Amino acid sequence: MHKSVSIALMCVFIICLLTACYDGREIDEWAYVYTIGVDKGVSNVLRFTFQIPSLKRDGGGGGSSGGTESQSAGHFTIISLDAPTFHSGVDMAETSFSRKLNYMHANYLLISEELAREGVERFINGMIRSRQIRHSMYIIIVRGKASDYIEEFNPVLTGAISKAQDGFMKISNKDDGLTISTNYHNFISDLKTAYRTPVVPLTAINDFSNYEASGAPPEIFKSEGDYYAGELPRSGGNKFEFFGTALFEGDKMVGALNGDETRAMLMVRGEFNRGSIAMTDPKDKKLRITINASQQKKPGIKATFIEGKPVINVKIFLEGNIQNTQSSTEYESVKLKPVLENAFREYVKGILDRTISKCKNLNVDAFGFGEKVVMHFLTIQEWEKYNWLGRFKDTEVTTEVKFIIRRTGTMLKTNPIQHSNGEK
Amino acid sequence: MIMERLDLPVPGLLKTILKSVLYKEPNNEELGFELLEGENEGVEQESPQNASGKGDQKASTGQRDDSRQQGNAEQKRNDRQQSDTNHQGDKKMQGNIKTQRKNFRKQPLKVDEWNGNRKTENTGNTCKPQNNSDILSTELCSNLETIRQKFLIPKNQDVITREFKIGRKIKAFMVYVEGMIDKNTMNLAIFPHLMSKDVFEEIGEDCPVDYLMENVLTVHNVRKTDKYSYTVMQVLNGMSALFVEGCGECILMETRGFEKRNVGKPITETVVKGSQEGFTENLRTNVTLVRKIIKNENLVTEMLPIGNTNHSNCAVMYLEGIANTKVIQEVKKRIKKIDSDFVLGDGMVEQFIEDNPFMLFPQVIDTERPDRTASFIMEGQVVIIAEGAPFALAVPVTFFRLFHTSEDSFVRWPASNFLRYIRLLGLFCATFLPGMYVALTLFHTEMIPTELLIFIAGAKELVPFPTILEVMMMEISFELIREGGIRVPSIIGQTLGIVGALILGQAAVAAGLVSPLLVIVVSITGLGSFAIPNYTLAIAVRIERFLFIFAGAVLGFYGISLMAMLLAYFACSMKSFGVPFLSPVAPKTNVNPDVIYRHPIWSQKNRPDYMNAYNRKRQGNNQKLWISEDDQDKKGKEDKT
Repeated sequence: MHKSVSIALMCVFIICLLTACYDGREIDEWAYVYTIGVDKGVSNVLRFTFQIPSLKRDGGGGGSSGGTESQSAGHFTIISLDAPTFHSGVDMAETSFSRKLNYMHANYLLISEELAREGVERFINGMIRSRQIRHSMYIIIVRGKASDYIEEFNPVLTGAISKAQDGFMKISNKDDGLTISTNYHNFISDLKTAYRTPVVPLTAINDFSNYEASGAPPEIFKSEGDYYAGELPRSGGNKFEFFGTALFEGDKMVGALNGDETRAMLMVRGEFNRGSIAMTDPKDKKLRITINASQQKKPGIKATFIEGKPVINVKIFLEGNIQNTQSSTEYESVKLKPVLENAFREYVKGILDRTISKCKNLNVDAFGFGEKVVMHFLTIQEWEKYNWLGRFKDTEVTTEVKFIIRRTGTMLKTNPIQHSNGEK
Repeated sequence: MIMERLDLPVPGLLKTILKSVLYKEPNNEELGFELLEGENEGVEQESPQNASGKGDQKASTGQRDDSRQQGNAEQKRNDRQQSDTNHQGDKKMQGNIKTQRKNFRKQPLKVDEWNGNRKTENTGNTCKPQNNSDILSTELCSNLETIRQKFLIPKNQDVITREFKIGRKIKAFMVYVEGMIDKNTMNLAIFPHLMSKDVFEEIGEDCPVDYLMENVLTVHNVRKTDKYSYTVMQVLNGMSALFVEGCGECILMETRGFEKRNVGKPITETVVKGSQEGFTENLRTNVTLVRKIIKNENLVTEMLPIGNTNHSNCAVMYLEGIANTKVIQEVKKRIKKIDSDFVLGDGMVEQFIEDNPFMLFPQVIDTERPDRTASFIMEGQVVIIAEGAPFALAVPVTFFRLFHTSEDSFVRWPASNFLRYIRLLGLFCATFLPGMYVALTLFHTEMIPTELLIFIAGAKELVPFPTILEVMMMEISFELIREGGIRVPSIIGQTLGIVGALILGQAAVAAGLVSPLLVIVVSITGLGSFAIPNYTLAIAVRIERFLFIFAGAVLGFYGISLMAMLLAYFACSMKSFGVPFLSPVAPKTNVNPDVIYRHPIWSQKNRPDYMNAYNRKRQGNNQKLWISEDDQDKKGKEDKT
């Protein structure tokens, strides 16, 4: 027994020596990359930007306070360099650090709009070969330069950048639908599939120039989603925002959807979660009503071929609560509720049609209609031969919206406001 | 010798220094002696005493084995003594030895030679001790001399020989060990009766031993024997022996009354619910405590002698008709084969009888609790209680049983399952956590959440050591605290807490020796190992932990899984008294509903399959019975109405 134990232990030790795979590296021998930015290169093919948190401590010198306080916010360094490929860029960047770059924890891959419009093929395949690039990394298109954007990418509310990165993507997905989230895996598979084209969230630096300190509001209705990233009329907060969607045709970005259109696209894809949608009051064009709408069930999409041309019928099922009315009109009443529902249906259908026609013009099936059309083909060869993505522009799409008001918030009845002159 | 070599040019001071440093044999005038190099070293092994023993060994093995089968290890000792004095076969050997011994000085006196010398001085005593026979002499003075010689009286002052006359007529003497007997019994119940005038009212001419046993001695347990060896053993055990003039037999009286600890709370196995009785160091008490719980005539207690020189006893307890005879035979065989001068307590017995001495895992289960011991017996296990330690051993045992506590059966099943899973988690933490920490930080940083990773890396910035060294440092200091905590006198025990908190706490972090997360890892590991109910297993896990740290440091999770597999292989190959260590999981047997997940008590109908108990069934359909009876009652009522 003694002998067998010692033989077994010896084997284990020898295996350790023979495998020669000792690649363990101490946790403090790495520099961890949070964000990777890709721009069009100037002195070389591509320009890469890495955002790396600094592990330097405040107070320094390992004083009496010990090693327990966490990193304070915004301690990171940014390095930009021109390189032929991503991996050679990493090697080049390492020469300026005492550490090896570890991009296993990189959460964002930011691609500048300029580069995206030229095509992403040059780097998108090569990067994913590395074990360190996670398939769950988010891909985002930056309007403007990615390197400039990363300089500003320092969330104000938290010092935990990776948590914030996740948060931005989650909130857009779950709670407003004004932008979407796409990870590397989905992006690259959408690039290579014949069913749909990739969609990527848009982001940009907001220099607060749309925010006007004084003036009168415009008469015409402007919805909450009628903006692209970087255009929101706001001041304060983060210097960047995620808004709208970039549309891809092949590996090239060809256009963008604003917030409203993004919601419409999500509704068709069945990914719209919930959002407060504002529209004009059907009784008074000056006033606005907000409906907190959510998808009741997956959309019903039917694809048929009429005279060899695909015809797609989209049925969207929504339900919602009245969130806000600006007048005292009692929309909760049995009489007025259908009026509001009808108006909302029309409004959503309008956005939906607008979005679909925009995509048709760009010849971009961002909705994934191909997944339904493919059902009319018996073999994958026939389907690939048919070239759906090339024919989307000729497709006839009809839309239909079903909407019911489920709840009226905490108010069951709107009583008019009493004025001193007896008016109601 | 070195001094001689150095003698010429060495100045005086250097010589003095060398003198104080170099080793030399002490001179006579320095009053020193040393044991390091005995004068008859080497010869001692072949000394006539043992040489004769060796010479006779082959011849006498048969005899000795016989004596073992009789279950009397005492006799063996006696055999040896006999052969010592028996110089028949020695002369040849002695011749050889004499040539060897020429170079050595005078032999020290042997005990019997010493006694012989002493006796020649005591002129006037005509009685000769019975040197050649184990049978009692009919002459009292001869018996007295033999007993005195056997107990080395008067050198040995513990043993008392009390001479007196029974009924003022017949000479007699008592022999007993001071302190081992109950003085009150002696003074009040034995001597007054023996010495009173009217003892011999109807005495015949025969030896009065039977008469005394029947009519005079008011002691609950008396025996008679005609053997010196047996008498000596019993006297050493605390009985007193009465020798009477003209009798070839002596009377042994149960007068035990030595100091012993009272039955107290079990110290190492405390429970909230359940019995609060623990074993003591006294074998008799322990057996009684178990018998008190299992009131069954089939509960067998077999006493086996262990320890050739200290003559200790151990009890083998089992339930006849339930425990498998193969296990019983094996246990008895292994205990009888123990050939060691000193065996005390369960810990030593365990090491002598276990199957795989080179394994880390324990192969017997020990407990301090009589109720748990009783439950082992009821399961069909064989229990060994050794004298001298408040623990009982049970065999066979499987890995999973080591996780059960007696509280498991005393609390309701959801609670006991919860506690058991917590314990399993403790085992997992204690075994793997530091190893996994090392593997994670060295190889699998992608698995750590980013913020935590940055924090660990940031904290690690100021630590100059590699992770493996950090972990080893903390683990070893933790082990030091634990070991120190056991040895520290309780009066200064508080100091240890403070020191421990400093080492395993903020101070170590502040000193830049370790990273703060590691402190948590080590603490959880420590807690986990405390949650393991079996102490031997807990120690095994403590050792294994270091293996896993090493494996994790070299090969990451792959190394940890290799090491885990290796340990599982060994555990699979182990057996405890015929039962595979990992059964009923590997090999798969019928699952008794109490392995890891414990079913409600009424559904545990069978004894564990792997024990091969003769009576497999433990209980009937408890609840079903009263439910169906209720139904029948209802039906009966309905019929009446």
